[in-house]
Amino acid sequence: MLTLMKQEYYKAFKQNKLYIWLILSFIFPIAIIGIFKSQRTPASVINLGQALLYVQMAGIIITALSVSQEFGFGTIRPLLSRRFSRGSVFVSKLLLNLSVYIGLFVTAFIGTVLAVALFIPKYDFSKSLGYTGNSWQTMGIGMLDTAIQMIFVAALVLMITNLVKSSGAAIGLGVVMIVATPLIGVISVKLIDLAAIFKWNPFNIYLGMSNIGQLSPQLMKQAMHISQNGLIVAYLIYIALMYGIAYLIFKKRSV
Amino acid sequence: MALLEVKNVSKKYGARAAMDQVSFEVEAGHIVGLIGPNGAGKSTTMRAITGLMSYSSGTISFDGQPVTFSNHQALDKIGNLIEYPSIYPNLTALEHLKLYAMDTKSPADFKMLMHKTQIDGDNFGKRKAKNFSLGMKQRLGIAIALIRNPKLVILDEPMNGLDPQSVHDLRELIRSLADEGTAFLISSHLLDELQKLVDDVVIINHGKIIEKDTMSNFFSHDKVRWTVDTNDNEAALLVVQEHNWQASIDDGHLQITGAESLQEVISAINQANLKILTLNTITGNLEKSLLDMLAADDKGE
Repeated sequence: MLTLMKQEYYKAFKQNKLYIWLILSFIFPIAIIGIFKSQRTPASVINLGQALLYVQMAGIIITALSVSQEFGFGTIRPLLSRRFSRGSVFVSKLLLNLSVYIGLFVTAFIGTVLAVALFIPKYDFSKSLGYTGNSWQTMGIGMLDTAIQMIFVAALVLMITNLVKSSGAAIGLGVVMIVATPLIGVISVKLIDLAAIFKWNPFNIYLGMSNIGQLSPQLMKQAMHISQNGLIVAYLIYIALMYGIAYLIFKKRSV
Repeated sequence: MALLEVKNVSKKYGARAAMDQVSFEVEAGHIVGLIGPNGAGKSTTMRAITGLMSYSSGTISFDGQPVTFSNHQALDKIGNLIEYPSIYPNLTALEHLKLYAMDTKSPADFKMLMHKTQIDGDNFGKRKAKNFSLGMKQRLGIAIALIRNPKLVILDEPMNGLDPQSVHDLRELIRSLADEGTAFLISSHLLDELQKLVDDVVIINHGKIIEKDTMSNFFSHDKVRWTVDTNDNEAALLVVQEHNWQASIDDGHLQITGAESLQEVISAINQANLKILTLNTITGNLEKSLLDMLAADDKGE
């Protein structure tokens, strides 16, 4: 596994210029908070200078590319015709993606703290922002929410990428999931209107989990028609299902 | 025991058999040519051996270990270049070798391998692979197949895109590695090149092995043939047929095979008071032999 991980990192840095993605993640909050005075607010700071959106996008693209490129370049053949099992290869890609997400979050967080120190020097991180606590706590919840969304969308993207062997469709769907939340909300509500059972539709679960920690459990139940615990269980089932399907396709495919 | 043993391997796509009871062996230090028309099952066979594709029945073992779609332990010592070179566009040649060398504790010497496969010139250097020509990519693909010091190298159309000098150098490289004990399984449509290179031939058609033999035995089938012109080719044909040699008139020339020696042919024609005008000896030719064999197989002979 160590060898596979080393190779995945080597490819990520040399082929996909991972360092550029990480540098951009660092620069993004500094640029946003530095250039736009309207962004020197607690709302912007807790969203890491809006870099959370960038982190999500970058994470999705890197996830999709990690698999689709191997098919596109034909490198899937040397990758799978070695002593390593397909399971190990698949897991090495998941671990790479996970570590990239962490890297993106960390660099965006450092960039935000630096941006605040440079452009909002009087900003008080310990000041309460309401139900979610102070800025540090709210930033933590924001990152956790984003990570939860990313894991869900990444599972979907990975599944689609394995199905169609192309990153275009998968990235497109991932972007829709991230930026078109209102559209997803409408689809979800329409589904629930059709039948109560559709409260378990993946969009509703995704939207519910996106707000976990930001809404009280009572409000969550009212909004999503599912208890917080129910949401978490359904989320985990969907994640396991999507990663499972992605793995099965990857494992069974002749190349 | 052979290094690679393929025994009764079959693979079906619906009703079509891509591999039908395929069996052959590759010995250490031998160069085996896997030959057949497009769609015969050459690449499918290579993909099955390298664990890239499942097969319905039969066994494949390498160095005594089984190779299946899910059991890859034995693949550590097999290098391959199947169909086309697998290249990361943003990596240089050296970076590719470094990447694939991570698989093994004892990779080939980078400099020596780059020199032997001619990827050490100025054209390579710091250039990314996306800027390589087809021939350069092919040479890099061959280097990647060799980086782990494999015991068996599987090369699918390795001469694709190579200029004559590179083809010659590749042949020398393969021969020298084979002399050191590395086995090769090579498919190519450049039959003249294969004829100069391989020790054994395995001929596949419609997923079935129709012939496997050493190269020298293979040519003993049609060994030598003679093209003769006499003052009366029709009469000469009758004379030759009386000796139970195979003969025909193609494009006006008398074609003879099956005689023990040229002297026999000359004596027989002279004894019939016919005059030989021209005489050409044509030694075994892989292309002709293959085409004859495939035609016979397609006719169901």
